[in-house]
Amino acid sequence: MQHRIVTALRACDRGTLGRTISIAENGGEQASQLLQLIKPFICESCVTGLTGPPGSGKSTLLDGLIAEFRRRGLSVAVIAIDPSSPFSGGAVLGDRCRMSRHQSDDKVYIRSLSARGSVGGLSLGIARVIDVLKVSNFDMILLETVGTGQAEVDVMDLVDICVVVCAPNTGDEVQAIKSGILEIADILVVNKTDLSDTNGTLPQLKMAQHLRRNPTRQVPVVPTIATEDKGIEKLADEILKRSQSAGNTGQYEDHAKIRRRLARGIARALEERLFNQDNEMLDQLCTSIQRHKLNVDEAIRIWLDKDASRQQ
Amino acid sequence: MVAAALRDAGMEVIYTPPWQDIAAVVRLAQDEDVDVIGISSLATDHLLVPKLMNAVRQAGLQHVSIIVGGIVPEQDEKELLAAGVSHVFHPGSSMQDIVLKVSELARAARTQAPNIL
Ligand SMILES: Nc1nc2c(ncn2[C@@H]2O[C@H](COP(=O)(O)OP(=O)(O)OP(=O)(O)O)[C@@H](O)[C@H]2O)c(=O)[nH]1
Ligand SMILES: [Mg+2]
Repeated sequence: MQHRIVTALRACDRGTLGRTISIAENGGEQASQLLQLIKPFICESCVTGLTGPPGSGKSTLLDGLIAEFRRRGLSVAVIAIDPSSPFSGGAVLGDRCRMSRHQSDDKVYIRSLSARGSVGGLSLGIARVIDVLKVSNFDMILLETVGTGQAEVDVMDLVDICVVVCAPNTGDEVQAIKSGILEIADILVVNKTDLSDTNGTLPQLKMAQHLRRNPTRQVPVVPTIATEDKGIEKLADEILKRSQSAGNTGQYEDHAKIRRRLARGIARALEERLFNQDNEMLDQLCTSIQRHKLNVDEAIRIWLDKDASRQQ
Repeated sequence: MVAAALRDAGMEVIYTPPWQDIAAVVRLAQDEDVDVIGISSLATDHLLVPKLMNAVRQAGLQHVSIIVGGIVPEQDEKELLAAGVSHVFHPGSSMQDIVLKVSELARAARTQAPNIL
């Protein structure tokens, strides 16, 4: 028999969505129980991530995208991740503010989350939240995150389509090129084109694409003015085009991305274990490093060799 | 200012533009799974709060508390409290008091939230 949570999620019951997402985000025993319950009901839906420097216009673009997708009859769920205070873990979540024109639409669900250290790291928490949204079978799942910290960049491994948003003449485009964020972009948005002559920026970004490791992969560049709803239609077209081609192969999620997530998750668990467990050999290695008998590189090698011989 | 103080106390705060209608506030409370709703009242806005309270309860959010801040006359405050509002903060309330009260209410909401699993 189908659990009533599953029934409620499939009917997009707001209260249930709200509660279950909190459980999923918080992790722990309850989250495992929940994920076990919903696993057979997770639908294939395409997840699109918007990332880019603070203030580049991600939330405003999302607001326009929601409207555009709704016009095309698609239902939309949005996860907006805001940074949390490194000191208190608290956060002021402001992205939703920019999307308030959709608040009475039943086919739009917006959830604000903070980047606080949810159990096992931000991206594990968000992965669980995405699973919950996939049970509700939204046509489009959109995710906003500031593209600065490593945790936020890791989150982009959870999405099927990565949209990088930058604003011209603020140094964003140079940052984008330098940080390597272009490498993960499937679509590039140059927003705020009203503020400056972008004749410089677009060619610059296009040129940067030739410097990429894999220049055969075509990355469309879409100029927008989010505050005037300009360029949004084109952006929606590009997103849908990508999602359809991914959908045709029957699988949205990229094998390499999953592999990276898995490796990262295992590494994190191992780190936790190696740091906390009572282990004589590790203690001895530490002492040797302390006394300058070994350097850290050597100690790592010794540990790994020992580990390899144990596994044979 | 209040939002920043609550954040520094480790809470997550979602603020909205002013003049939200009741349905929108209820929707937000459900979507975001909030523990406490804070209404900042200019003029006589707070007179709508009992209606909001009803709507929140009707939506099944029994565990969510509502607080009001602003210039609220004594008679109105009595009405609000009678309608189930948890607390009314007057101008000049200390930030520390607000933070303490809100975290207390939030904790209570967490323990009272229905277990849906
Ligand atoms: N002139 C102009 N301003 C814009 C445009 N898009 C967004 N803005 C403004 O830029 C500011 C930041 O926009 P947001 O949408 O909040 O940017 P964001 O990337 O979501 O910001 P964070 O979530 O803080 O990282 C707001 O004041 C917007 O009104 C645009 O196309 N042109
Ligand atoms: Mg934003």
